[in-house]
Amino acid sequence: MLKECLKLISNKTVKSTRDIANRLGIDEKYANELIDKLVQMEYLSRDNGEFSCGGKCFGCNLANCPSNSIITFSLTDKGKKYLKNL
Amino acid sequence: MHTIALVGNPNSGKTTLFNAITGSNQHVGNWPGVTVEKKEGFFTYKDEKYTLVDLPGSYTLGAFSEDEIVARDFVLKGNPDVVINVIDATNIKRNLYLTIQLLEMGANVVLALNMIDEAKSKKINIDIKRLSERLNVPIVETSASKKIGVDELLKVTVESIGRKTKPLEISYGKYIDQEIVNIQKLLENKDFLYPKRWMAIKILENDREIISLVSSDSEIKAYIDKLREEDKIFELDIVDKRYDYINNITRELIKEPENVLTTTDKFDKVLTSYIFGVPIFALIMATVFQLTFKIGQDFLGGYVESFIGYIATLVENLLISINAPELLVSFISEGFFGGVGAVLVFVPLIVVLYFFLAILEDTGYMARAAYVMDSLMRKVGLQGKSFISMIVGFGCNVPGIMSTRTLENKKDRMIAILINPFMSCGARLPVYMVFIGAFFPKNGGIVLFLIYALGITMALIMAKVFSKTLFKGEETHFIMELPPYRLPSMNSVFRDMWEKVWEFLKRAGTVIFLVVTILWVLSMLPAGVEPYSKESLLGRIGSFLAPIFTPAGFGTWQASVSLFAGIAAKEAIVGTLGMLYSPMDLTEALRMNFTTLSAISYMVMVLLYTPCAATIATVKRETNSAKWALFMAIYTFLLGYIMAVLVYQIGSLFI
Ligand SMILES: Nc1nc2c(ncn2[C@@H]2O[C@H](COP(=O)(O)OP(=O)(O)OP(=O)(O)O)[C@@H](O)[C@H]2O)c(=O)[nH]1
Ligand SMILES: [Mg+2]
Repeated sequence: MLKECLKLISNKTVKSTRDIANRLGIDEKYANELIDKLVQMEYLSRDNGEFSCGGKCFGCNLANCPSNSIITFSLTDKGKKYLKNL
Repeated sequence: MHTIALVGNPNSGKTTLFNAITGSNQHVGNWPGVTVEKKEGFFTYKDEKYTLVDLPGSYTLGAFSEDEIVARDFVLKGNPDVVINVIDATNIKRNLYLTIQLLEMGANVVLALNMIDEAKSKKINIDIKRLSERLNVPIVETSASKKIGVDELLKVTVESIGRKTKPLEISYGKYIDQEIVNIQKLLENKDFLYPKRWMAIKILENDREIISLVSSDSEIKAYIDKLREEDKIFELDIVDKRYDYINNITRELIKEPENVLTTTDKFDKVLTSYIFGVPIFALIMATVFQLTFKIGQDFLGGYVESFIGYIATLVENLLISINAPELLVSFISEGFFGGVGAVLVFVPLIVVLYFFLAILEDTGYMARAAYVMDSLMRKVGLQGKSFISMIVGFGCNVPGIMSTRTLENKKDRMIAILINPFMSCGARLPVYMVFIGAFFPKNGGIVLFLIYALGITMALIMAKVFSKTLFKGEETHFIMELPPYRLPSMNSVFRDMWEKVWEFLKRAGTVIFLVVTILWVLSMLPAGVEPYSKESLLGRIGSFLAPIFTPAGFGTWQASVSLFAGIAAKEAIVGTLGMLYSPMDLTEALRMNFTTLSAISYMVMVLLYTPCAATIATVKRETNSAKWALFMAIYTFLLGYIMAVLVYQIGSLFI
């Protein structure tokens, strides 16, 4: 499943964990766990979209750096290399 | 004295069980990772004393984190007589992954099937007898927090002391099994304390700790290096096989009720659907603008406007009554109230718009918006993740551009930076609003929506152009996490909103005030000239520039000057117009100086032309290149200008 999961992500045919669950015919809880595993094993990297401007952006009309609720996972170099060797 | 260890996933109830057994009072928390080092306690069973060790929770026994190493080391080196593996019964499959690893290590395991109360209320049916047979371990149902099954667990645990166990051997497929045997042979006759097969598997799993341990042996090190060279890394296959093994067992023995669709699922079926996703997103945004307009402008705006007007007259009368110098009166009433005041009347609008946007963010809808936009974005050579920076840009383009830092790929990032200014920021809102107020008072929401939509469309078109010309490169692959929907917390919505409003006020008091003051001085010079006239310094600069904008329909010196003031800060456009036309009411003045068509072309210009100085500076900093900053300033100006001319010229044919 981990391999299939990586392949789906690299094929760009899935956009969310739920898509993966649907495609692999597993429940979402399990799909999330697979993703967690892949992150732990450094095939995927988790990005919670946070960045900091250190409060030094002159002219910005926001008081704080905006944080967004969108979390994404993308293939790491290790993940890409693995898929290439498959 | 015999030693018993408690091992399990985070949050499975180990510490609760520890406290229930030992009667001690360790910290329990409803979040993972509460226990970070091992804790020791004692209990007596049938007059004999035992040591009980509570270990930090972990999902695997790899070497990924400190917690895992603490737990693993204790099981391997602490020689516990029995390992009580605490399992969350509502999440068996996930928890069994750790169990399997304990069994592979050859630990003497007793399973505590904890949270059985919750599992029962969730109607999860577990065939405990057969599960126990398949895994070859005793299983006891417990509910640590209700102190149910604790005595039984102690009984079974004590009985298990000295039980002969054999490490579990899973077949990892012919190829890996062979490799395991090869490595096992190399490990033979070397004095490592751990089980040999387990070590072999860990080596193939690329376990840092074990590999560095065995690397002291040159023969084994050479073998591992050879495997690496041939890219024979099997960690994924090994993990997969373990999952297969677990799925095979649980498939028959655990029956969970059919997954009922959660509320989130039901919403998502519609909101993220392939066909309706984008139209619904458009509809939601149109509604937000319509509401913003109705509540912020029509309802609240009026009050604020009369309030500011009232204060202005009050201050003016006061100044006159104390015989203040004429110049000061003029500055306060026309410069300050005419200029800064014209910006301040839009506070309610900003409040309402950001209130709604904060709600969309807080409910989790924005993640869906990025999800549904993804296909569209990919078509133009962007990725859905770029949409996040675009959403941030609706607040302000400076952080919008900074948030492109999260795009790994240079190509994605450059494009996302260059198109961000087309996301209409909060500072441009007042400009649209005065023009809408003057020319489209009945259809404000729709016009506003169309402006924003035009911004997004231009962004997508330019992204396509850039990805075809300037930046070519590979695409990145990613997936998104869609958090469950939740009711917005009013606290965070109001905080979000307040921050934006406060900054808006601060800017009106600083940057805008400064710009307006400078322009006011320029419109008073040279001395003796009629203020705000064509002959003033400002008027002459404006008149020099104005012909450029004649083809776009707004070739007046006031319009030209205000556009250039807008490069300092976008709110300054309204401030400048307000000052230059004061004491006349700004709405009235606009109706006299613009036509409906030139109002549209002017709004298009404001939407698209050169972003403010702060944004240009950010582009320079983020791309580390003055060239790109200059490119940004110029190409947006040309694009804005061309679009404004097109709108005006084509429109003239019909009107
Ligand atoms: N319903 C129910 N809740 C339980 C049970 N056992 C523990 N809990 C609750 O589960 C939560 C986690 O318990 P802990 O004992 O802190 O879990 P832990 O395994 O020590 O967690 P870490 O130290 O983070 O690894 C607490 O809120 C407990 O009250 C149980 O049998 N049934
Ligand atoms: Mg604990």
